Amino acid sequence: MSFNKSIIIVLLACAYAGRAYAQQTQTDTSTVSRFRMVIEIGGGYSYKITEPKQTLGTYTRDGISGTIRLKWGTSALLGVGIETGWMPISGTTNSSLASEFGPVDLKASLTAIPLLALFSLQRFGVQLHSGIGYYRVNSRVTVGGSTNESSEWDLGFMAALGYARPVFNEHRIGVELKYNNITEQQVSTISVHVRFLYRLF
Amino acid sequence: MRHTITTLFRLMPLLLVVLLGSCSMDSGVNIPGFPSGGRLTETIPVQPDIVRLLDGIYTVIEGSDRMGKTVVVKASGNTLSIFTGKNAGLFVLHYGRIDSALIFEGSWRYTQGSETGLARFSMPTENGGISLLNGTRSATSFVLRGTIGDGSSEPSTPITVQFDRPLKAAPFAIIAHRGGGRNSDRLAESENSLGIIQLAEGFGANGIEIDVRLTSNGVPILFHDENFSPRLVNGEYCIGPVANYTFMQIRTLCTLKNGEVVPTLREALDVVLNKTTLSLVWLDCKSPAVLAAAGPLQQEYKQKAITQGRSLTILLGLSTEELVTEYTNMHFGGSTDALCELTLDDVRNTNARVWAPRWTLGPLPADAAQMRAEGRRTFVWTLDQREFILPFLQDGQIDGILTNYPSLVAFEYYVFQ
Repeated sequence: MSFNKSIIIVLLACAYAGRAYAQQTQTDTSTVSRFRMVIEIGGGYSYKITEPKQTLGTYTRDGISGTIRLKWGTSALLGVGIETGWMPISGTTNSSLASEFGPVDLKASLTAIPLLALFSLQRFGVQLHSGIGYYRVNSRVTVGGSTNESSEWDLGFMAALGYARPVFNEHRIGVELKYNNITEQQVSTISVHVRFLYRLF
Repeated sequence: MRHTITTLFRLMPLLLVVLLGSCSMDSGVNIPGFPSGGRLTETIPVQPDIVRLLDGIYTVIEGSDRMGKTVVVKASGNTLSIFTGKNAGLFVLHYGRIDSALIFEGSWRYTQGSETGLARFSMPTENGGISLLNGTRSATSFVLRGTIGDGSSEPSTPITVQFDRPLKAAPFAIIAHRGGGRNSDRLAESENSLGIIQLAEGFGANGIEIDVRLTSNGVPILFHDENFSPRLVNGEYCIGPVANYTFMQIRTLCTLKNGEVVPTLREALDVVLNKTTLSLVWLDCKSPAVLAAAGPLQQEYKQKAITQGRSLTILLGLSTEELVTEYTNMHFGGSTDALCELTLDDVRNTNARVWAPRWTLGPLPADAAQMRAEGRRTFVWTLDQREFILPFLQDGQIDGILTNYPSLVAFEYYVFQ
């Protein structure tokens, strides 16, 4: 839980900054120019940091993940929005797993699609994002030739720290380090993404 | 609008703190054991029938601050249990003999808490040991002396209990929920596992309730929830509806919380019949389709019990109108042993042997008496607190209680005059 505690500290700092900003805007509204809508697309490498309780074969816990965000907020500091995307979580393969049924073929994978309410804080090109919401967790298993796909909604959250710099008036590119936690499934992943940001208005 | 955004932003960390704080991991209570097997390694076995002579209500002579004034002592299987009223304590002790003294060693825990420790008792020759080993009951002289400790420390707090009176002989069903108890009570075995069924008698139960579902290929298994979740299973690929998975997929990918396999109904009934002396099994059928699979097993194990000379009642639980309809439409409807949780009319229409109302309806003595007059029994579910158990015992019309804490119900039932 130490990693989670670190996140809490970061988020509390984030809240403090938000509070400070709110106080500032009460006295100096000139620092806020206008609101804007930004769409953000990112992709990169993800790694599941939660250890598996059991492994049944060749276990993979990394893969290519993606993020899509739609954010609305001030140009200066605060933003809210929604986030979705794609997260590989883990996979297992075993062509001859010893079981009570004899040796069986096993192929299993776990993926998730986040649907999170997004809160962001940005200053000097650095963005701190956090999100809370649900993950659509998908399991696909094939055991002994029989395949099953199951899904469920699970509560979770996300925190990310990124940097972006302008390349044109309405375009920015950047990088991001992201932590996802699917609380109900007790799964955590960490990701490094390259991001493309486009200001819609 | 800006104020709203700022407020939302400030609330977000609080939400996350609450979310993380609510992420509890059910870790089992670490029940201690004596190093190197304790003194029992020096003993020779004693027949369970002999130890059963110890069954009774005992007065606490020494140690009432830990045990209360009265305890219930009851043997079952290869263990002797002690149930205390104070803190709903439960002792489960194994036994053996050295010369003419009986030695009892094991552990205790508060069933509704995490406190636990070691316990060691003995019955010396002069306190009834000899008469007990001779298979006779010189009740007035039965005295159990011992010590209990906290955690894994050597027991040192003295306890002495003396036989007061025998247990009631009247039949009363003390039915352990989910095979013996729930995962949330951090038991040594998972709920609805083969292991918990074997512990149920030590907890004070003489019957169990187990939850039956079907796999996608029609195998009846023991599982409570409609969906897999980390609350009940290990296995990260086990998510979503249980009914989506084949039996092979479940047994290959999923284990119960304490690492056990997800058992089939057949395996569970085998354990009940061959490894316990339980007299009642309540099958909580989770869907109408379960009846077609569970019905033949009920009949098969009823016959096996008769062959073994065992008194074993297996009840098909009917908890919804859909189950009642399915049951009455099936060819064995009315000819098998069923338990109906709905109205008295539903009980009569299905010819159920047992009516099982929810405890929140209150004691309902007139209805329970009517059921008794019709040759049926009344079991109440699910009672876990003393103040709610007592009114049903005082009413005197019910025949059994379903509970997550069989030791608590056993204490209250046997002590209640």
